[in-house]
Amino acid sequence: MKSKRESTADKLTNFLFTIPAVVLYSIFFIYAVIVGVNYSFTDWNGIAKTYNYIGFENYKSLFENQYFWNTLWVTVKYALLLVVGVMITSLILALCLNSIKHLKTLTKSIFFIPAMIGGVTISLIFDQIYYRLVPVIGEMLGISALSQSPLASAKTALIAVVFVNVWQAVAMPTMIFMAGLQTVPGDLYESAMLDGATTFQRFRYITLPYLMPTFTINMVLTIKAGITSFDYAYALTAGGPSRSTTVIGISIYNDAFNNMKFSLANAEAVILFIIIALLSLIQIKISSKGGVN
Amino acid sequence: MKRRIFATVLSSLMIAMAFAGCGKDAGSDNSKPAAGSNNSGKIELEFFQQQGEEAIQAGYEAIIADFQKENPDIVIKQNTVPDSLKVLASRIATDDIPPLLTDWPTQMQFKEKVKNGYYEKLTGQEFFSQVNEDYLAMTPADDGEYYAMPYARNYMAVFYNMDMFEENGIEIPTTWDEFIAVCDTFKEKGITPLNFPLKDGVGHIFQATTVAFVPDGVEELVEVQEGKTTLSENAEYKADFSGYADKMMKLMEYGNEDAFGMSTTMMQESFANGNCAMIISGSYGRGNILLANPDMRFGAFALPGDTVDSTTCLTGVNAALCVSAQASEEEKEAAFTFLNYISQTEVAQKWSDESGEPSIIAGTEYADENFAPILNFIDEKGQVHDWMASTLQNNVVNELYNTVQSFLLDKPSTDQFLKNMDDTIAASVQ
Repeated sequence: MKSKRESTADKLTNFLFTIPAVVLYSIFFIYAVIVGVNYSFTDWNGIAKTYNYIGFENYKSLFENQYFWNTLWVTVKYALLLVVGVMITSLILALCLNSIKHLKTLTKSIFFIPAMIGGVTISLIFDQIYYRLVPVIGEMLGISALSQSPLASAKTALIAVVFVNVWQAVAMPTMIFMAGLQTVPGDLYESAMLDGATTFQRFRYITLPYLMPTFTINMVLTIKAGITSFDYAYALTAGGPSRSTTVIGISIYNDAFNNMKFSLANAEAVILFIIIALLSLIQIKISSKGGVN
Repeated sequence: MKRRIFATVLSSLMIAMAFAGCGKDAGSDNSKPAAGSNNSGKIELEFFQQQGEEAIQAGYEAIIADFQKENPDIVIKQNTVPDSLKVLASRIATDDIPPLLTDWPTQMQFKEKVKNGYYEKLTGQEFFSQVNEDYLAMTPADDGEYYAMPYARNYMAVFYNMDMFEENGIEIPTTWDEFIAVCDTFKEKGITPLNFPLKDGVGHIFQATTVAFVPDGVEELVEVQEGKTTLSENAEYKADFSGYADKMMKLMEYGNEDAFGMSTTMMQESFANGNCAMIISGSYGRGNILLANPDMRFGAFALPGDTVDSTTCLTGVNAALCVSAQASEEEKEAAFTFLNYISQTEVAQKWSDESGEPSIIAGTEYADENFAPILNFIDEKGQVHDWMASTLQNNVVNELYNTVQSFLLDKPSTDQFLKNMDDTIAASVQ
């Protein structure tokens, strides 16, 4: 049995191990957040040497601005489309890849390749595909909706941007789902089969509950990725046409660097931070109620 | 116990390393490309050059090499980065202003930097005597002083395929009606008259068409920005911008069907490959077109207004050279020596020839004769207007791009378009 002194020493050792991470996190994240929140209450334009505190003026002007509400709505739509696209596709892919008997590692590696390419690179490739290939396919198939790049219409641009994001973003959730599938005991499937459960019933009552914790992780990560997304929309459409793909990330970037409204951009970032924190909390709360832990 | 001691030492070391990494040792700062004196008595100057075009960089490299032959004690190191304005803003925020740099002196962001004392006052310097007076007159800051040496100009114009014009016996149009007649001729012959890159937004095309179709349009927008009136209420302004809307819709009839999917680079490539007869482009587009098709014969003319006398061309000072107010006296002296050197006619001519940019240094001539129509128009007619960012707020201009793009895409009524313009300005103005 350890003495009280040894136990305290252990705790101290463990505490010391956390210090490097805590210090780095504090310098690069907490300090940055505090400074950002501070600027959101000022009128700093990003260049001036001085600034004034103006209270909640930036927040007030944002909530009175129709473009900001449009940006929020576009961001919500983007995140929803991304979550639906990524969760469904990655779950199907994980189930398929998990059932492969031969060359499993190679196949998994191939499906992971998109995650290793930069978002901007993929966007530029898809930009060319949309512009040069899609109209040709549309003409061949006689589909008028595909007669021009989907990025050219305010009705289809957001879906086209999210499609590119989904194409790349499914890799990591697929791997996480596959890891989750390893936790499902095989004998449960055998029992269920003996009891005459259908494939869907086995999925619904065995696989899905075991995957719930994994589902939560993927969901939180994808929602966060959707709400903070910037590179795909910026590289593909720069927010257009007709502001139909102006997600909040683009708005923050434009206000900070193009419009010389740095403090306003910080206020937008603070609102974004609050939205993500709330969504994550709700998500974790809801998901923790079901499933096998 | 030993393990605990080892762990404690390791943790402490990691903390120390983290702080050491974050700390800044004034004597060993290697983050800047070059600045200050070195041990050999030479002075090194970082030249933060903001134009990413390869030809422009090559132009500066060529004259820097010549300069260093004459001034071996001054080493100029050109540094060009992507998204340079953002990088510069970050460097300014951390008091790390490059000693020698380029910036756009007619823009409001430049004037803000001057107001905060970041740039050295250059008024009275010898090199200004070499700069074209018309362009120099565009550059004083709010206090009436000069903080940048303009070196080149830019413009928006109609780039045209000379072979297509000659093969079809078409002359350069000088009025709106003539321009439409040219478009009709090409259309009848099965040639797409114009390509528009509306995927990137209307951008500079909005600026060029506003200046061409509504010569006082920018001033009218400034009044709306200042809250004095609106386009919907003021009868004169309403007529002006209704006419603008009609002309834009007319132009779109002659454009490419995939305009909203085409980026600026795609448009330049399409023009270079002979897919259209004309494009509305900035002077900066010339290099990319030549890159796509080095053998192409193309020139430029002013986008025509209603009459020859009302036709106005958008032109301004290209990135001009500035000196940091925070630079040491030694660095400032070296920077002035460099500016005096490059203001010489033969040096500026070499830079212009290498970069393909039209110089505004006295005695220089633009090498590409095909661009004589536009340059002569600017020099002889004098019917020119500066870029919008010199009088309109950046965010107002950026939001107007979106509003005009929506107008061309959704085709609302003209009244609705004017209301949208008013609403956009009201919502964007600071």
